[in-house]
Amino acid sequence: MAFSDRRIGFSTGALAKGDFQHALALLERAAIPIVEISALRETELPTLSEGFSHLDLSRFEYVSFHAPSRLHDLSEDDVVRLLRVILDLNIPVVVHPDTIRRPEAWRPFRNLLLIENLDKRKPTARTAAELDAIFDVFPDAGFCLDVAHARQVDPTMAEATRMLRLYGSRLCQIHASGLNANSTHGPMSGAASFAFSQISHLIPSNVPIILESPVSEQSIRAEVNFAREAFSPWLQRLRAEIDDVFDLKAPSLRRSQVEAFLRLLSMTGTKLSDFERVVSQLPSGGAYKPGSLFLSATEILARLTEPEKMELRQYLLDRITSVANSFPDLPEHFKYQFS
Amino acid sequence: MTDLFANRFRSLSALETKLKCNWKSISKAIHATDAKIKILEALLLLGDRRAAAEDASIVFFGSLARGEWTSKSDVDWIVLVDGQVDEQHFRTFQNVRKSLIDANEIPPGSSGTFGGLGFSHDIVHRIGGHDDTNRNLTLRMLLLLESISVGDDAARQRVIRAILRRYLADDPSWTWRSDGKIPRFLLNDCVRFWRTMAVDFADKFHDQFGEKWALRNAKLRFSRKLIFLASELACFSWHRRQSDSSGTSESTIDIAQIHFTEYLSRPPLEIVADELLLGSVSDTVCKKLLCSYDEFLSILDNESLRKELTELPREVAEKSEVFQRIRSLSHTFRDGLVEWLFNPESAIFTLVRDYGFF
Repeated sequence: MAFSDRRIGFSTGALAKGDFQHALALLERAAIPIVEISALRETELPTLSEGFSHLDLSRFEYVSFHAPSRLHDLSEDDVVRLLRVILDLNIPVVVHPDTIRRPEAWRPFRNLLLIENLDKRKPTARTAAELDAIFDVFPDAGFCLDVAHARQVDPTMAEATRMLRLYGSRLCQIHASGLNANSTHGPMSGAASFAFSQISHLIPSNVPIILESPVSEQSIRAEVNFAREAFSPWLQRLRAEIDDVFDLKAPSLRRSQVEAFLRLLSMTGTKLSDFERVVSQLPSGGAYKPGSLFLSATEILARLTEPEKMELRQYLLDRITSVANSFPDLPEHFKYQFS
Repeated sequence: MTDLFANRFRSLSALETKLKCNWKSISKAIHATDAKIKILEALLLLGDRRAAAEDASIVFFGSLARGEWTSKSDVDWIVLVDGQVDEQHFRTFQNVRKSLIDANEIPPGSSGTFGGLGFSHDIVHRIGGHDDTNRNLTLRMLLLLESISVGDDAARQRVIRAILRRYLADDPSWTWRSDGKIPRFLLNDCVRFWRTMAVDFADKFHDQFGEKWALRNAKLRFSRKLIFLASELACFSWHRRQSDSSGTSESTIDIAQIHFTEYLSRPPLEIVADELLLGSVSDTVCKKLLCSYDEFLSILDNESLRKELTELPREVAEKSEVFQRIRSLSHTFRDGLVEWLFNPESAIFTLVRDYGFF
């Protein structure tokens, strides 16, 4: 699976609080086959548990379940008992670890128990170190990385990177949304998108992404597309790198940058028409961030789908044509490269 | 007048009708503001208008916020952050700056007050004392008196409420005996800001060798004076509001906070027009104030006259027709204010006498 084909869906709680049936209908209308059924509020769990086995979820490729995040009226044993029906259907259950008081009650969930990292208000599971103690107790458990929580705890995303490094092998699902300082979920912001894109290369392409952004029906598709760009920023990144070489705004800088790149191509005997070799020579990387990997342009190119590669090829061609028009002497000086 | 004008400037529209006037330049500026805001939204907001960053608002001040945009107005803005530290806020600020530069918008002045990041904690917690810098005071007062967001407005709204809360809750003479007294902490800072703007005019004249002095002088005579007037009217309005609210179970501070938030959410021209109508101020005075303001805006909107004001050396001001016209108009504006505020027959006179100076 290419990274751009990431599986992205929604939490029912984000689309219709307390009305999972309506949320499922919204997702069906939007042709989104990835869903997390939410019983974030404990009052939702008994109804959901009772009717769950009758739900027709056949149209969904991936289904997970979110257990209540706070318990007032139900006991922990009640919750585990009500979740049994979900477990029997082999559906993973996302749990906030601060609701776990008796670990032994949850052990039968084995790898269907997905431990989620929490926001800054919670006393535990906020950082990789705090998760460590929890995974010690649940050695078989999976991991649901909430990137919005991780970003709120550490906006530099170093903590999220650390979680992915340490628990990447457990990673089963991602939660994503906008989240403000008061821990209120919202649509993903531009800044959130940029932050998530910085760790996207550490998230395998087959891991489902569940959006917890509260959006209207009209905005469901837009939010999914926005998330897709955030978690698969490769095409945009390569476009930006092509622009860094061919499209600097100041004409004098633009010329010297293009000339330097053409000299590099000349030294390596590369023609501008050799798309993959040209891309491989693009300067890639970015500002150093603790724990982040530097992907080469070739590695980024490998993450694109074929249509995206075609799109990028055309983009490069347009930039080269523009350069040749702006500086007509360059094709004369670099005949081989322009041939 | 269009619906748009009538909706956002309801009292101004009513006053214009009552006086049988036609304030073409004010009306044009309001429409230009509306169009400009739409341009900025298209420029700065992502395709589906989602927020640039959590816990931040892109805030504009000056003519754009007052609804007085003219063709060569500069764009004063900050990214106002009200939340935890996040390196992405700097990136958001850089994106806004780049977008505005690429769109050839006229950048803010050289003082460094605008065109950067602003943080709520300083603005709210540092009122008075050594750490309340000129920039901090300016941002705080302008947030209250002439600010508008493009995109997510939540951070700006939160900060405005917090500023007002501080002025109201931390006013020792007002909190425990608020029976009709106006909040002096707020009033004193409004007065301080007006005097600061006037002092800064002289300071900039000195520091920048007189550059743009005539344009600044014109703004001081009209738009700066207008926001000071609106701030004083806001403080005075509590006297009227308080006498209407006896018997309520809500705390006075809560009521006052809501009152001032709503009062100051209107553009200064609308606030002034509303008070003129409420006070049944004479037609002559109303015309002196608003007709002179209308002509002031027409001069600012005239490219060659504005250019002349921008480039006019101090030494030849006496010979400049446009500057002398501004001067004369400002005297009409001032006379209107004096006849309104210092008329012993007017309802506002007692408040001006009791609170305006000491």
